Amino acid sequence: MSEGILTGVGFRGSDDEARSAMTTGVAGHIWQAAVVLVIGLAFFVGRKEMGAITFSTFWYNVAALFYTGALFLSLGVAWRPNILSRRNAVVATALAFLAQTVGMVIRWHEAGLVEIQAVERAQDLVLTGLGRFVVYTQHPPWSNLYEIMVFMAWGIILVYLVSEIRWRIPYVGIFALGLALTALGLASLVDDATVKPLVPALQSWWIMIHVISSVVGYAAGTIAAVMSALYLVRSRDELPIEKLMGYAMGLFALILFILGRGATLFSTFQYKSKVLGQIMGQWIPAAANVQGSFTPWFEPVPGVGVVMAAAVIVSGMGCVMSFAIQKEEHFNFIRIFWVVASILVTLTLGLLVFYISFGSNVELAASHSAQLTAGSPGPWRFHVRALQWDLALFGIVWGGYLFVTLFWLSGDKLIARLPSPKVLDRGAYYSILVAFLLVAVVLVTGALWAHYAWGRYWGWDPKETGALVIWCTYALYLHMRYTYNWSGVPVALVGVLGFFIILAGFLGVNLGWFAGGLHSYGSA
Amino acid sequence: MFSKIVEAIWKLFCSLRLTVVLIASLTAGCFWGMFFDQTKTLAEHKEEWSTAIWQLYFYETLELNDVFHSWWFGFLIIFLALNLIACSAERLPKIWIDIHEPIRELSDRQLRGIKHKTRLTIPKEAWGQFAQVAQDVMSMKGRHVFVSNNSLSLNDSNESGASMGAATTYFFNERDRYARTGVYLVHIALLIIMFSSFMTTYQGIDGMLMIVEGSGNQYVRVRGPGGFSYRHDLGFMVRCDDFRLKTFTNGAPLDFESDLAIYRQGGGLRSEIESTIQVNHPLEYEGYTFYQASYQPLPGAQAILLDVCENPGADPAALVAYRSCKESASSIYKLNIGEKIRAENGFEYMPVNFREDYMGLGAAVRIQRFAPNGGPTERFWVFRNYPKFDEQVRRGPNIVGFRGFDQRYATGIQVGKSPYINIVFVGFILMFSGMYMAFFMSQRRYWIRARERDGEIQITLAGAARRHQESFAEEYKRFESFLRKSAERFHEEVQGSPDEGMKDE
Repeated sequence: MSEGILTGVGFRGSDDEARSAMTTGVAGHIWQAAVVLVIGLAFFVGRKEMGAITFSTFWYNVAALFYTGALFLSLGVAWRPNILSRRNAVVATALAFLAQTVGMVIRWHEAGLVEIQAVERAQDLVLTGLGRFVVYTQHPPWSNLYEIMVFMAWGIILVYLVSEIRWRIPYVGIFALGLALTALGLASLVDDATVKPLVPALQSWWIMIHVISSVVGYAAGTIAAVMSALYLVRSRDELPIEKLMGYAMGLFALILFILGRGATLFSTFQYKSKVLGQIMGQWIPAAANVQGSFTPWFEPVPGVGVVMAAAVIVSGMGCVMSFAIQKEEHFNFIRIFWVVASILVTLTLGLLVFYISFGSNVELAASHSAQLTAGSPGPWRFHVRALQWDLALFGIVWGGYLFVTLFWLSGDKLIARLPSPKVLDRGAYYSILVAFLLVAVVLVTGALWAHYAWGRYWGWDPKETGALVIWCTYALYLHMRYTYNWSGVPVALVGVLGFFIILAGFLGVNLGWFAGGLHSYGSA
Repeated sequence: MFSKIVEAIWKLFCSLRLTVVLIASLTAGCFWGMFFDQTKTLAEHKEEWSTAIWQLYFYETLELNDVFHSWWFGFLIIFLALNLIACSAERLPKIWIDIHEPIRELSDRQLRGIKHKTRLTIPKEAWGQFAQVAQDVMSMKGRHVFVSNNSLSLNDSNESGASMGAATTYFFNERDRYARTGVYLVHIALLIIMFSSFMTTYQGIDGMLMIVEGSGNQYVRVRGPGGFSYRHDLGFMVRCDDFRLKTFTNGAPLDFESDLAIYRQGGGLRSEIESTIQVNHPLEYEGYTFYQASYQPLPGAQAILLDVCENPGADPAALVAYRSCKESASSIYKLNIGEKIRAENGFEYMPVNFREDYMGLGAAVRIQRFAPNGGPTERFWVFRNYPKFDEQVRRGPNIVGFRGFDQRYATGIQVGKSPYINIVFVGFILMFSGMYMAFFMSQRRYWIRARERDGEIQITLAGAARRHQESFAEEYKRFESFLRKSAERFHEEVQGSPDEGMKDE
């Protein structure tokens, strides 16, 4: 299907031909959309054979396929803007978005059936009328990590499409699609993707507005960060790039430090990962019996810790250097630190990926294996399922290094092709305005929900605090803009920082990078 | 000297740089608090983290077990509040004056700071027509160009406006002038929310009440500021008569509820109020709110639920009685192991033991039957998952069904008292109204100045907006082209008529 999209709309030749191809191209899109819908309908009819639960994931796969196609189209547009029309990429994205929306509606339906079945079984009754409708609709498709990641991808594309309709800023689509695909990819790695009946605390109508506004708000923040980053790239010549490298190295050193669980990294020079073994087709972590309770067993990944610690030190020193060095003729020092840090981070990620992909079985030390739960099968491996979120964060740091390096080395021609700084600045500003408003909605609906469900409207829970931090960051952005009239580089930097804060506040808290995560490592 | 210090402090609190620094430090403080598990006590933190004496002082001084109620976090919030108040106190009066007494007469000095401005000329003869057009357009409603006539001033020395000599005429139009106060509304709302949260910390209650089914409790365990937990006396007794847990077939909780009754001292055995609370459906009493939060099964406290009905045999009339017996709840008995129940026909039944899983068939109970008058006893198993087993397989004088266990629970009730919650809600409403005004509305001003110069009339049009500059630029362009077209029309009309042309020469 993606091939059809690719061949159906690509055209080359004279302007007249292009124009006629454009019109047939649009007809072609409608035709292809019809084909997709018919195929979908066929699957819908045949869903009994497929099994109800897999049906929404089928649509998610269709969406992922289309997003990939749209990403390649966008890259093509960026590469040869005179041959490919941007509209093709946008239409492919819109189709994929449609497919994902269909998938989410179907998942809502599936979840509704699961809820009805569970309630009927548990209470031994048959639901009818309004009661049935309430139970049917109470479980929206954003109630667990898998669904939230899928929904996040949906939100990013939604905000991107709205910005596309309103401003038509080129090149944003590439990053939006990349991020959406990353979110879908991470979702596909979540272990438990099945629909389970909702826990009592979530059986509330607040979940609708609360989660929708958080996902769309954070997606708007993400798109704003993309635009801010593009703004920084576009105005490269006005930027003190070495200073930026310094700030970036500071941020990345901090992220790597958190990833390496600081104390563990620098006291033992080890980077630890859960080790997984395969039992009956399922990857489960090796567990040790610590004082009667089972905790996952962590093993150092060989070599990674040393390189990672070196990366943290070099990045941190680079950051300090950037503050210390004022003379332009000494800026080469910062550049050297940057290059070395980039290489070290690449090496860290490379080693990790190597051990995950090609590494042999992990030999646990005898003293360790004695502590392991009896009957643990082995052989143990470092597996992507145990490291997915760490890898995602490593990927972001590495991507950051790569991005700034490209930004530093890329030709003026490429930079000149980017949209004008003014357009990007305005896009980022309005996206952040939306994010700021929606995060306020998240905070207030969260407070109301907590008041009615938990008996307190604010409890400084990490999740709540995370949302507050994101809101504060955007308040900072707006104040900088309104009162100092700083539009441009400083606010763009805050816009980019917002993305990392969203990552920490939204995902990091869920995945235990903070209190919980540190604690569990501390005891392991 | 003293006044200088006061002035310096006032200036500090008025500065927006301080706001930025404070917001940034609060953000950092929040992150700091997210790192340390705030549900633990100081002792637990010290045990986990402190390996040197300075670390111990460090954790104690910074109160890292309760970052969000620590002195430094409190100071940051108080500074932010003072900063907000000072900034508003300094700016709001000026803005209020500007809203009510705007500069309606465009001056050259003012014009220098305005981005959107246009200069036109019209023939002197067309002044009357132009004045009419300008007045209409400045007071026009329902158009995209302009909407309201909030304040229109026609300061003409000559009231007719048709011939004006050397005088200057000013037109002024303003829209959404109160939009500028939106941001202050947000700030006031934030102050209200901050203040009521602060008061709630000291006057509110947020605690846990664990009540064992069938008993009462009047002391709430409260986690106060600093992470110190203390006992709060409610002044009345909350009794839990029954706790019910509904589960899905996989054992996950579907819903749970408690029957609560409140008794007062001196009220005797009569309860003040009785209510059933569920998750998301709390009970409110005397300013306290009781939320169903959690539950805990009590170890070893399990009763067995049996139903005992007479075997109908082949008698159709007895079958009806049997069916109704099976369906009614009154035939279900709650028995402990070794506790007997006597059926109507004289047989006695006693659960002897149970297994959670009997050979893969699920939960089962072994029953001992005592015949009346010392007849023979018999032991048999009944299964929870096979309710018809006894009816179809054993066929004794009574059909026994195993309805499951009745686990005794302690119900976990979150007790909350937030006396200022309504003020917080008002704050929320104010905040959203303010945000709507600040972000969606935009104060827009248009000025027209008409002046006679060199036998022609020079028209200066200017426009300014607070927000949404792009859409305002479009609006301004539409307005400008409208005025330009009318000016051109006037020129054509004047040149077109021969009399007027003669006069000009």
